[in-house]
Amino acid sequence: MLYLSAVPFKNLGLPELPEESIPQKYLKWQKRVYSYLAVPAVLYASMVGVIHGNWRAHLDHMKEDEEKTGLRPQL
Amino acid sequence: MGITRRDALRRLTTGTVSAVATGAAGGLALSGVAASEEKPQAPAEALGMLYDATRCVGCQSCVAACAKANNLAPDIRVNGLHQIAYDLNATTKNIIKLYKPADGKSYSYVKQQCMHCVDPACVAGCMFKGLKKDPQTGVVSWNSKLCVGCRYCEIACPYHIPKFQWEGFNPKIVKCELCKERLAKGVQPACTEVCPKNAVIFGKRQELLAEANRRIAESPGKYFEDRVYGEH
Repeated sequence: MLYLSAVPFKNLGLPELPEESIPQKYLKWQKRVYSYLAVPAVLYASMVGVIHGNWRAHLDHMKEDEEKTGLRPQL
Repeated sequence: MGITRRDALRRLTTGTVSAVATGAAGGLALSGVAASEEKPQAPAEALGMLYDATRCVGCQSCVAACAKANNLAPDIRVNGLHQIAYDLNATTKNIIKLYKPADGKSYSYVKQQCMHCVDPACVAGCMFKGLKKDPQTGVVSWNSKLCVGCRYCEIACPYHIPKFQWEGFNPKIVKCELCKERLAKGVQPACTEVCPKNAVIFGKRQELLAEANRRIAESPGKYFEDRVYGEH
């Protein structure tokens, strides 16, 4: 909708809106928040990787012990 | 044990640092994308209306034609006879208002209806996509099958255009949809068809913008700040 008027637009109930639209502004902030929320997710995934690696090394170690001693390892 | 506490701490620290670095880099990259997003533009073939307040005589033909075309009950609450709505409401999608300053001069009529914004806040506010902006025509329309009646659109709209039908068992959101049924038949909206002074005209947005600029160039100083409201 386009308007032409001889009187100021604000007098006709047509406010001067900011250059950046309201949806655009909120979308920008929303994207920022969500992008930084990726940090804890990546951190969690990395920790899972580290723990998984440690656990596998631990199992290998127990297997070696079992072969050497013939005793069932205890956790 | 092959892993000492020192090894475990070292791996954990390395993992943490790399994770934080990756996340931060990703975050910065994404925020960079958001910041570099261009301003939304109207579709090339967008339809619209041009309302010239200096031509409007306030006859309200458009209001009556709108109600008739959209099967809305005429709002005759003022005097029980004439269709005179004070404001947009559950049965009024389009209204002509009078601006009359205290000093008595420079009065003007104004047509109030959905602006079909380039970047509509009502569409952004609707959580179920009950309101949608057509990517080709640019018309903002309402879908009764998706609307849950939350009325967020009413709150989000900076012009306070969408109205809710508080009465009845199956309420709707009422707003101008540019007579989409008529457009589908190749007919222009009812309000532009009946306007006796061509104060409101229908067409492609680009053409209307050119027409508005032509009028401004033809009569410098006639229009407020020699500019078109709704262009940006």
